[in-house]
Amino acid sequence: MKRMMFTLISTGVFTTITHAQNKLSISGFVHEAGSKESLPGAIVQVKDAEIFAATNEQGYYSLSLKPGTYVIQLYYPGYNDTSLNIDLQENKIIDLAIHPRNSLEAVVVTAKTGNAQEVRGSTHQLSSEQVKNIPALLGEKDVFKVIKLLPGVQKGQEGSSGFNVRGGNTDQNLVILDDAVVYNASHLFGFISIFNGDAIKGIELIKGGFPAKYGERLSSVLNITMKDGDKQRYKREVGLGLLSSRATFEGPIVKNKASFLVSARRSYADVLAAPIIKATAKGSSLGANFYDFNAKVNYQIDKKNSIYLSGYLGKDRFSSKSNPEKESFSKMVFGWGNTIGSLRWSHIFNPRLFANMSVNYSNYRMGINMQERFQGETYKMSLLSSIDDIGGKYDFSYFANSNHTIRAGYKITRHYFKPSTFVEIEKGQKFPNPNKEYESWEHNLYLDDEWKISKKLAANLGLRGTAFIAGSRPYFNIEPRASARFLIDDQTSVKASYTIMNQYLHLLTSSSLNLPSDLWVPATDKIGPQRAQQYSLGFFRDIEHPGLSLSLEGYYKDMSNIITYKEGVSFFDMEDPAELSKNGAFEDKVSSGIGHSYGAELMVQKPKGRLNGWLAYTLSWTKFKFEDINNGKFFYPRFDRRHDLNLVGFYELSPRIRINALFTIATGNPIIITRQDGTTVSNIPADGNLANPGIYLDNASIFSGRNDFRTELYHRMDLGIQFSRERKKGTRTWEFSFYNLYNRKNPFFYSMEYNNSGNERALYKYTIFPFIPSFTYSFKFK
Amino acid sequence: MKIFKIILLPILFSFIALSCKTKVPDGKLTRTDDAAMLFGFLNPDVDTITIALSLAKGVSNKKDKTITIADLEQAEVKLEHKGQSIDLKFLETRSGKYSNNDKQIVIFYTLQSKLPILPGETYTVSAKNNSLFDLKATTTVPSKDFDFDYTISGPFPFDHNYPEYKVNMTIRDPGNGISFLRVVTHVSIKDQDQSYTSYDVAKEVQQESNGIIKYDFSFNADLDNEEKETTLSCINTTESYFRYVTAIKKGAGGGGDPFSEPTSVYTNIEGGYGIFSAFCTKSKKIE
Repeated sequence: MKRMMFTLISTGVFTTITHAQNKLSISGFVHEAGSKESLPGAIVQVKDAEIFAATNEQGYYSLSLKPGTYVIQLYYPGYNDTSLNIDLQENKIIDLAIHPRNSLEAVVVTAKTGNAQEVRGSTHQLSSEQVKNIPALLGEKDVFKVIKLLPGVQKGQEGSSGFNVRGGNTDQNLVILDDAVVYNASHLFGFISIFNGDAIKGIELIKGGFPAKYGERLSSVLNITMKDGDKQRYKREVGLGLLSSRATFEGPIVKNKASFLVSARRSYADVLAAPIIKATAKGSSLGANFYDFNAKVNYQIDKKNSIYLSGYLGKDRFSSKSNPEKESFSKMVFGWGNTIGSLRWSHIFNPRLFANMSVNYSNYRMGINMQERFQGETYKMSLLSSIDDIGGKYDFSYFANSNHTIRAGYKITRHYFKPSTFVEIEKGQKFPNPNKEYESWEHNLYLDDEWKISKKLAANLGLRGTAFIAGSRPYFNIEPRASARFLIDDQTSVKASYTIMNQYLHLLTSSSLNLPSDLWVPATDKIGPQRAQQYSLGFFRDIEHPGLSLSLEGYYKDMSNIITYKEGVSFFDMEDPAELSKNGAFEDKVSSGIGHSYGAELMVQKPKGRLNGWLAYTLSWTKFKFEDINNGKFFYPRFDRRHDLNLVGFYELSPRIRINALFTIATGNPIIITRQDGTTVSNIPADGNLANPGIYLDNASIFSGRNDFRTELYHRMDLGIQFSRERKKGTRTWEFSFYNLYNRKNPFFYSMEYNNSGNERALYKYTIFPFIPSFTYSFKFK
Repeated sequence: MKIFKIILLPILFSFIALSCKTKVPDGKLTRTDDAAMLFGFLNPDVDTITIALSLAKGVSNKKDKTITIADLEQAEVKLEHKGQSIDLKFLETRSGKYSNNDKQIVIFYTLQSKLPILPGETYTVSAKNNSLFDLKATTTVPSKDFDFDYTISGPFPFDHNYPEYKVNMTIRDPGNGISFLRVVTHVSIKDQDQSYTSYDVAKEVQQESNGIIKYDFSFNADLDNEEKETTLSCINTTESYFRYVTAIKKGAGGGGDPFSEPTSVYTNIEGGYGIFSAFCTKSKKIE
């Protein structure tokens, strides 16, 4: 397989160089007219020819053509189609501008899957406008909530912000914000993600058929790009919601050369809830809040050089305190947050060779501080977990000719882990643990060729070499990547892909809780890297009338070396210094296992018109197996759902009124619950004689097999109505959202409890999100 | 801002008020049947064979099957070996030491003279009461071909009622018959009933190497008290026993930590829960 890949790539590169010598190039950036915001993923096509190119992440394109006269057409979802006549007698650099549409079609679905011409399947692109239009809980627009409406993406638990792709754990998603990795993308215990829709330009989700450019995780890549900022005029936008408010400011620093964008959000649920808690809690207090801040500056030095500097800073804080005047007193502060930065230099060596060099920094910290006073003694505990990345990468794109685009690059990252630093102070005595810290280096090298082999057949072939050095055992792996598309006719295609992925980081997640207390840990001498291979096959068809795009994809994924906590382990006693005799490194607390996932995904989109939207259906199975869990038998992970159907619709009632709705229905989550209270024997005599009166009888809660039971069906409908009006100073929008319109009591968790009179023990279901009406107000200044 | 709060507060109230717990209507999730548990540890050196039954009560009040202690007492308990089967007789129902009265086991017994327990042989136990429960399990008795020596040091001061002693055990296993072993220190008081015996240290360890096994541990005891007699036992046992004890220690039954992972109770009993295992024990008095 590896040899075949090498031969194919070598052949491609050779033919590329030969062909390139007879042609001229036309290249440049595609940007939004007015703001000059670059547009990644725009299609630049030569009319009446099978020649086209998609702009890269910086909006750059390059076409190789024979000398002649051409009509260049430009497409970008939500923008007016544009064409341009070109007389090409020498290499030309032409920047192309495209105007956004003003009608509802400006916010159409832009998911790529279903586009029969695209070489790769299993990919979706979303615009920030699309995220903003889907009705959301308490009006908080959230990227992750929209992603969960796509096929192949499992919902996870009600209210959770993490997502699972094609049977992968949440840690198997590579979430990138402007080239920097985001380790925990959730606010408020996962109810919303950290991405502020006002600062985002584009979102791309890749579920399979990964190009060699991407790696580091097994299951998906979620690539989020921040807006560059308007290069021509200043813009302000404010939004007020029930949970948080936000403000965005962007504009030119040097007109048409440099611009900036700053955007900030702050929640105030704690402020609003404070009087209620004060009135009812008798001296106790409770609060949760978050803030985040995005900033970006870019400067186009000349025609060939641009630099970008972007950053994100966000923090969550949850605190509780009992009445300090009472004899027993406790307080707790739980905080987590990300600090992310990226500096990028884009350089055009020549019209065919584009390069990006970037330096990235990413830090995620989680800390818990607890204090308890009881009978005059004070007990304190603090726990800190963090991961700190610094790295650099260099990527090249060589637009060799119309048939070949070759990409290559190298990335190096230093990871610094502190999985669990624990300090305990008991009766004035301090027990710092000899915390174990891990430093590791990760190297990634790739070569990738997007090759149009014939009019009907195209392929994306690549190789990625990875190395991870931590402790005394280095890991080296080669990852072949192959995607192919065969056009049956202009609007119908079949696509297939095969990928191998390795992941050198693990996330230790509690199976019973969904908290940011999850710990990132590296592959070590004892715990190997996660590995997956995935096969996918899909059928894609675009139907011109009535404008539908259809895709049907099947996949099979094998995973190995996935890890989880062993039975009975608590993240709190990972390295408890007071219990050093029973605690070791994290490797002793986890179990490595395997997983399989397979399924089929159907997506039908109607991307244009007054009524547009999509239907996504996923049929899937995911099973995990660990030697030390569930007596070594296969079990369904918590996020496994057999059926998952999502229907999303947008309707323009009038130019000023839009109605947005979604309906989702899915099989319940598998859960583990207590079934019996058993009487077991312990303190068994040395001779095994159970008639010995010295034996103890203990209570044992007997659980169902791991996740043996399914919760009831999950379903809900959300509705949003937007009223927009042009005002003298800008556009104001009122949006009324109705989450869970018919008040379906979807389960959050289950518990076996006694009733109030204590005479009956039964199963109770807790629901946290009933029918919730909300509104948001936003104003976009002219 | 004040108006804003006035609008928001009722919505926040309604959010809290509407968030609720609801009793799950009758269904597969809500029904938790009672089950029976079986415990047995065969030992070639003990005259009496004992098998205990206990209850695993379904936690909800909705059940298709209810089992009582009386149902356990009426069970038909058999032990089989190479086609030979003997019935065990009901001995007594009792609580454990320090146990609440609602925790009870039902003990059945027979004499080994009726069915000898031999190392290397496989035995099957069954316990049945009509359609209420039908339990079955098999175990193979481990080898007796081992011995051990020990050295002891101490006493060492310890924040405990009794001082600490450190023991270095060397276990000789020429036949490589030990895969799982158990070490017990057993303190009894002279001239008093065995019921006063307590087991202060019980550590289960896995084999460390073939042939010679080194095992070090410590225990607390009042060795200077001449009224007390302390015995050190080394037990060759089965993997099933080891997995059962490991699961119990890991917190099957919940150790009260809400953050801990759920633990399966290990069982090798078909049709119920529990553990059927065997011990081969070598003991030495600690001087």
